[in-house]
Amino acid sequence: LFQADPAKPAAKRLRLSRNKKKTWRKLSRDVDNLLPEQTTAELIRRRSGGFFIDVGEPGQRRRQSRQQQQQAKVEGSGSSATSRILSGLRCHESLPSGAASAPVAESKRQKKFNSRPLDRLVKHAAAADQDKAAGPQTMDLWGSDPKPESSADTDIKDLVLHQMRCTRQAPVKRRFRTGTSSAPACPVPQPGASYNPSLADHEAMLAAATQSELVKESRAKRLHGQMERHFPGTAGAAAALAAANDKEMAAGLFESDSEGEGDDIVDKEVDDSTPSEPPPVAKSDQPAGRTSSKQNAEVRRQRAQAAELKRRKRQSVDLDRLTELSRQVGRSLAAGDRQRQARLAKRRERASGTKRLGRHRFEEPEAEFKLADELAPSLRQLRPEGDLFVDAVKSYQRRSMLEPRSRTAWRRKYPHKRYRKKGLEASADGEAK
Amino acid sequence: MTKMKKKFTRGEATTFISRKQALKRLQLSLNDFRRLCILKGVYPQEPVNRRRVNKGSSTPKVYYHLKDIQFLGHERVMQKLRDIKAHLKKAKRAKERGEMHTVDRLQRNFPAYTLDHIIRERYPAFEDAVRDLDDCLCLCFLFSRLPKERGVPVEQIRLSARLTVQFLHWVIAARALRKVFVSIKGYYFEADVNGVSVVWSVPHQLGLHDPADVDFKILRTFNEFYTTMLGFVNYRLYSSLGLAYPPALANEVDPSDYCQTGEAHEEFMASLNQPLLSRRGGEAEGNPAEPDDFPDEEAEGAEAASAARRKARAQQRLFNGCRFFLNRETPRQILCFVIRSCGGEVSWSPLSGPGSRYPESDQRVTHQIVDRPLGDSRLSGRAYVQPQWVFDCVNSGSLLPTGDYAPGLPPPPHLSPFAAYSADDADGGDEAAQLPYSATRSAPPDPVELRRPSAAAELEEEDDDEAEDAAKREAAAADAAQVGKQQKKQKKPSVVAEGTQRRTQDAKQAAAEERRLREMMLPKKHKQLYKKMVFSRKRQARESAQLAEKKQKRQRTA
Repeated sequence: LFQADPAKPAAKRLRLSRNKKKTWRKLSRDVDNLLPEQTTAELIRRRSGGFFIDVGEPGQRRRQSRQQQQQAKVEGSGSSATSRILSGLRCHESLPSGAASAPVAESKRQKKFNSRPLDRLVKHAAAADQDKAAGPQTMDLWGSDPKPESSADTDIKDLVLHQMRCTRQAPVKRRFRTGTSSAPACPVPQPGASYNPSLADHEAMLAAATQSELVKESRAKRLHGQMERHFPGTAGAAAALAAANDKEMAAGLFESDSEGEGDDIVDKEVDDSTPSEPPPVAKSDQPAGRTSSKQNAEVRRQRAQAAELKRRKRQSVDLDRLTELSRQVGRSLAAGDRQRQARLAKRRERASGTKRLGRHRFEEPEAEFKLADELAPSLRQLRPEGDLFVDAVKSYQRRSMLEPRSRTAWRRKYPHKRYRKKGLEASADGEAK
Repeated sequence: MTKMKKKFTRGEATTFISRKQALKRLQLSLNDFRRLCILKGVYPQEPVNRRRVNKGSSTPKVYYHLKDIQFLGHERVMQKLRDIKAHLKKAKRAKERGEMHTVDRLQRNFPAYTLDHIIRERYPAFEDAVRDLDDCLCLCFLFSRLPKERGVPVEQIRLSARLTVQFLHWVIAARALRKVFVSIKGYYFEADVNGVSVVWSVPHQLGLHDPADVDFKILRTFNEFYTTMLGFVNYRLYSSLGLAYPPALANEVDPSDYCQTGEAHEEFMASLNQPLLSRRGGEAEGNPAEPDDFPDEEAEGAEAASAARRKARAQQRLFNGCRFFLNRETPRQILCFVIRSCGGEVSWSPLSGPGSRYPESDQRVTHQIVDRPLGDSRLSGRAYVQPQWVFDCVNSGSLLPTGDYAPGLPPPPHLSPFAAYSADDADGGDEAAQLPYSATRSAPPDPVELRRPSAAAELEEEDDDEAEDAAKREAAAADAAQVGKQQKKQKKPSVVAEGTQRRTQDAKQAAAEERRLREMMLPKKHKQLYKKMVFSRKRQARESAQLAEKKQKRQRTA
């Protein structure tokens, strides 16, 4: 197929790898070796008898050989790329009649080489055809229009029937990727979020908002308390530092400050001889040291003995209270049953709730609300609250379709350098911009 | 001797795969992988035990099912994504080299892919697609309102706008709208699409915020998928009503005052005030799907279902014969959609936009929607109402008195049709006049009133035994109190005037005090019995209230 001169016998081809520059240089010395693996670019250059394999749009400019143009006229224009390729492959017709015009008997290897690129090209062209088609093949995706069964449907049916016949089982149902979350896709806000709510609804909404604020406050307070307990004085350190900073920066701004300056300075006797000591470390109630292993063993043995005695005594007592014991057993079984139910319910809730995906937990967004004096007297004067884009993203996160992400500032580790590759530099100089 | 079992070679460790591993396996960049997952509907999973999956470590990672990733590997869109990457690399190189003709050629031949097969795969039946319509509509409506400068391609915004308008036209033609809620965030609609309740939100007309923590790349991929899906869904919905798809306007329109001829179709479609062409060529008849009657249903859900059907029928004919005129300051598209979905006719001033059908001075206009204080310039023969009247009528299923919604006065509260107010859903959520915010400033609500919707009926029964009688009465009152405490949004019984309210208040207070006295007068042994009865009654009432709430919640979401 790609042999330019069928009369000339194929030279013995040198199988060299083509991914290194030096092998290319070797190849280029012997042009004949290139022949079976010519690129289309090479073919285009050889205009005589060659043909142009076109896989593009009909609107593209392409160089057609005279034969192909004639063939196109004969067949009619507007044929698809596939038929164009296939129709242009009657290369033997362009050859002079005689023994040489018959197609050369191809060896197996030649056949393999000749068929491979064509298949790929045909497939590529067919795919390109499909994709370049304007819009979908049909708008009727779910088959509401009465139409004859397409071959695709019958093929699938046949396959399924065949499978059922062979395996004597129904085919396994496909597991569709439906979300298991029971949360609604478009959560409607609470009635108090109406633009003109009733008193009860509005109060309920404000109460809920206040509750969440109180919870936040209590958390902050708890954190503050914990900090104070472990690192006394540091919890307020930031605030104190800010206050001191403000005072320092504002020094001298007001006249009253400068007047009383002389009186306020008190010279304290500052003792710099000894360095200040750090505050004493708070000693926690830890045992002084570990008891020796022997002592531990002794203690353990004694404890075991005592436990054994107790157990025996208890056994004898238990025999006398069998009925009560049976009742106890019943109660514990019931409790175990209840625990199991609770566990299953928790598992179900977990499956239908928001999953923990990745680093960040999903945080329920705060409900938007308007205070009493912000309520709009009419629809025209309403100022919207909240953002429906954020709502949409949160809804996807709630249903575990997206994992919660936080925006991080992207910092470059090393300074950014721009450079131009050697080859591009040269070509940029040569090319006119 | 048996082989030692190696850890992490079976079970969860082999069924999950981390995201980094998946990227390596599929040879995709993170952005492309995210796009593919969104398109194919592959979502991250949470393994029960992260340590087992991560071979002992518990660092938080994002995990996927291995089978899902293997499934992704067979997707031909993946190859397209790689082609696009290669294409972009070529274009960048050509641009750097200054080969503009190459850049143009590459732009012309940009690899394209379609998502039809993915939609067919994810939604094998039309009903599956309808169940996912909530998400689709919300996102498409959001994108249709985006400004061009947001970084989203203009074509995508226009496509979303076109498809959402087509869907609204279908809802109008099918008279499928059931609920409207105007919140501070936006408008929330519920429509009945083939028996499935679809809820979507539309933002207010004012400018959108600029949310910092929203990744628009991801939302764009979602939108890409949903616009394709909505196109197919629209086709199916239109063909079920016998309308032509792509939709065409039934009448000729004159775009001369508004837009160029090429944009006329889009602009007049967006006005939502033009009838559509049917498949056979004439104007669409507008035969809305009437909800079916199933007389022999089981008694349990039959009442609620039949009430819902009655209400739906009432909503479909609500504004039949009414002619509306919208003032400039009202939200025109929303009101036009709502009014036409319930059978009314709308028009507006020709200066407001295309689609006006009759002028303001038309004698047949029955209602004029205004949203600002009117002067004396009122025309006779029509009612002037605020926009909220329309929404409240739709929610209640009946025409409410227009006097309450006169312009300039604070209107009654706009209650949410999505919330379960107690026992009043059947007759129409807005019948009971929950006192408006402004009115209650002067007269605070009565707590006794709030807690006792229908306890009076139970007190009528008389029994022979005094202790049981007293016990039953007390129990009934206690039940009511308990129920009232549980249901947070309790509606007041309908009260017309303040005077009658005060009278009923006093009577009820007296009755309550009398009951307390009788309770104190019970002998000791009867008191024990009474306490036990009250306790068991309370518990039963609590359980039944919880079950009722669950049922309502399920009915709402289903």
